[in-house]
Amino acid sequence: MGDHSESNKGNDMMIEEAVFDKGLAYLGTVPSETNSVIRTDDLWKTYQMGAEEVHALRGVSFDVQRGEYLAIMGPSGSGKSTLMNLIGCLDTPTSGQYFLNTKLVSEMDDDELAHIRNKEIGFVFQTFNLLPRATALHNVELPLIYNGTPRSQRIEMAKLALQRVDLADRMNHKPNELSGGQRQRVAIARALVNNPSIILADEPTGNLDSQTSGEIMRFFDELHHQGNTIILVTHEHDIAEHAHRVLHILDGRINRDERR
Amino acid sequence: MLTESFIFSTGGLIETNVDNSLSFNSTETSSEQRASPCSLFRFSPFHRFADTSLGRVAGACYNRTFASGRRLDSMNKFIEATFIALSSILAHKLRSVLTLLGVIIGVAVVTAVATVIEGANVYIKEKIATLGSGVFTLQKASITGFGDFQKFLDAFRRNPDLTVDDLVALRELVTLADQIGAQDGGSKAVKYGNVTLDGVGVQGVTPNGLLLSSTEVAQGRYVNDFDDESHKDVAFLGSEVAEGLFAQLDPIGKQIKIGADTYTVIGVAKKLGSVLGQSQDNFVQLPLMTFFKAFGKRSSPTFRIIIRSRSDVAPEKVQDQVRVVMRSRHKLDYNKPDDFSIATDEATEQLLGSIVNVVAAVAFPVVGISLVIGGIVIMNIMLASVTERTREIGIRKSLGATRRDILMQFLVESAMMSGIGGLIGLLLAITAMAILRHYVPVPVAIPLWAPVIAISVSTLVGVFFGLYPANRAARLDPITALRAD
Repeated sequence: MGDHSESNKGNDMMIEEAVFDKGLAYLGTVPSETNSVIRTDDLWKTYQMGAEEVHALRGVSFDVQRGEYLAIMGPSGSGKSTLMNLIGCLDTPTSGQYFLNTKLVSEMDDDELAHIRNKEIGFVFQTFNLLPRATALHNVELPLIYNGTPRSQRIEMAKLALQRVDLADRMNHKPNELSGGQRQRVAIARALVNNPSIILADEPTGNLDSQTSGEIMRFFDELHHQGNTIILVTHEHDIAEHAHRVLHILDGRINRDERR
Repeated sequence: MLTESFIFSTGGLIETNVDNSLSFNSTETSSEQRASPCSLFRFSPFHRFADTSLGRVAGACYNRTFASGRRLDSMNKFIEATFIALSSILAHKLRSVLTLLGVIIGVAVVTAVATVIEGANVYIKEKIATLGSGVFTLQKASITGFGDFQKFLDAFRRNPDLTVDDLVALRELVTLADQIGAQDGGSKAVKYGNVTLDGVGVQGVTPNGLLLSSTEVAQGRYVNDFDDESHKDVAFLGSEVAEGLFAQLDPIGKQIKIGADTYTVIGVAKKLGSVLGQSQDNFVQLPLMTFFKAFGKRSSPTFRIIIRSRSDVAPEKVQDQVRVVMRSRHKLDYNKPDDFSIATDEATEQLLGSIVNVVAAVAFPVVGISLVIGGIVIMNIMLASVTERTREIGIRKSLGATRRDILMQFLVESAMMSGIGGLIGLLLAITAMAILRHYVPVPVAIPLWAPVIAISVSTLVGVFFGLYPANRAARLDPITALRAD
């Protein structure tokens, strides 16, 4: 507390140091030497069903490098959705550690998780999950609203994101005025707008016909090309084909880690 | 902890600089440009992570910087919450209006009551309590409190009439008085030519009547000492009587008839208007002695003596002196109550004030109840709204909305809804009062505080009853919420 009165005097050195500290504080712990976006260590998730304990995850450990294109596959009930919720910071593990960008996410509280979701994760859902009463532009603006980006800046960034999915001409349409593929593209724009560390797509083509699915998958391929880290959660083999690495989940464990 | 507070204090410094570069950035949005605020500060820790794209670092830099500018942050979110609230209310117009019925009625009633009370207060000050300070009247009996009308009737029956001799005695003995006058009157028919006005208040007055009432001369002159002493047949007319009898003619010097006697008009009063629907200009004033000569008595039950205290004396002392004189004239033992009544403006104000208080005492619990019911209805509909929008809450949470963001969204919505209810209630009351004023002679004045209270109280009702539903929304688990349909 004593330092900042000095830094306010306008001492350049002090300001620079303050900025440096600020940066470190935001990044959480000391930067690691590896290039891992995700590192999990023995993740367990246990649900209490009455007197019975159900283990949805039984010790999952894996790393994801920056720029990877990963698919998580598994039949229903395998723990795939639970894993996705943990990776997406929508939930915390019962035990084990999860580092996202070197930050220990598994120990965070609700509000910290909300900030992480906002900054680091771009969600794309099977059911699109757009706000029905809001325009495409406003839907894309949402993540920026929750990190307090000023309005003019926000609109500019949202428009850019919509341009990236070729929907600039539809930005004032509401979701019910858009086709399924267009809706999913709005969702992708929304996921991109905050420049997240990972794009997490949960069955992104589950509600689309095969032709539209192909279009959407080409977008993901393109995003990967641009350097984004992409994680697809799916049970469809031809969707998982697009990824360069497939994690097969079975009974709460990683059954196979397949790289192509 | 140390780092936390440190960040906060330096945040302001950085923010201003980034803000400056923002305006420039919003027009030029290439990723290199976006990185500029970072390089501006040689943001070394971020550059270490600038391994994917410059744009990402810039984005992260923005986010971090704005997260530190918390005021800007919450302002943005508040504006967003306001927009969401408005669109949600507008999406359910009928439901919102029905929901707000309780608040609307509550606020409408409170505003109407406040308006009437304020109107009554203004009215009492302007029209009824017009004697002026230090002026009081001595009467046979008067209504002194709310609800003792029977006491008044008893006193009226029992007490002796006041007489001209009382007036003469008081003028001699009450040394602390500045002016002592008297007035009596009754309702009579007044004629000029073939025009007859019925029910005119014909009054006998002393020449100092102008000093003891709000009557003013518009034309001609008032009754003088000579008129009174020599019982002259002269009349001073209220404006309504003058208009009624003479229309466009000049009334001065004209002869009017009251009963069998003829009077010469010497003057006309300025218009006074009406009090509680009763005209104050429908009178003919004669010299007191002339009045008694014509109507045959030196006393009457309605005879009032009006006394103005000297400005250097407390009115209570003068009233005591009057009381002493009257008790000795009526030969009352020390243990007997007064058999006459002294009425002051303050007493009149108190009397009317007590009526107003009764109205308020009845109205405000009604308002309170309707506001509470209104609040509960709002809570109910907000709970329904939270359930209905569970999915939306899940989406917002997945995109980074914190508990506080969701809490604020729903609080703003219920507060705004309730505030709109308050506004509708207020407008309703004002309209109703404006219409009422047209048809009924009720005094109406909207006190300035009424709209302020109406809107703020209704908004507070919304906040209070919105807390529970909003909190429920804020605590929703994002996974469960996302799965809802």
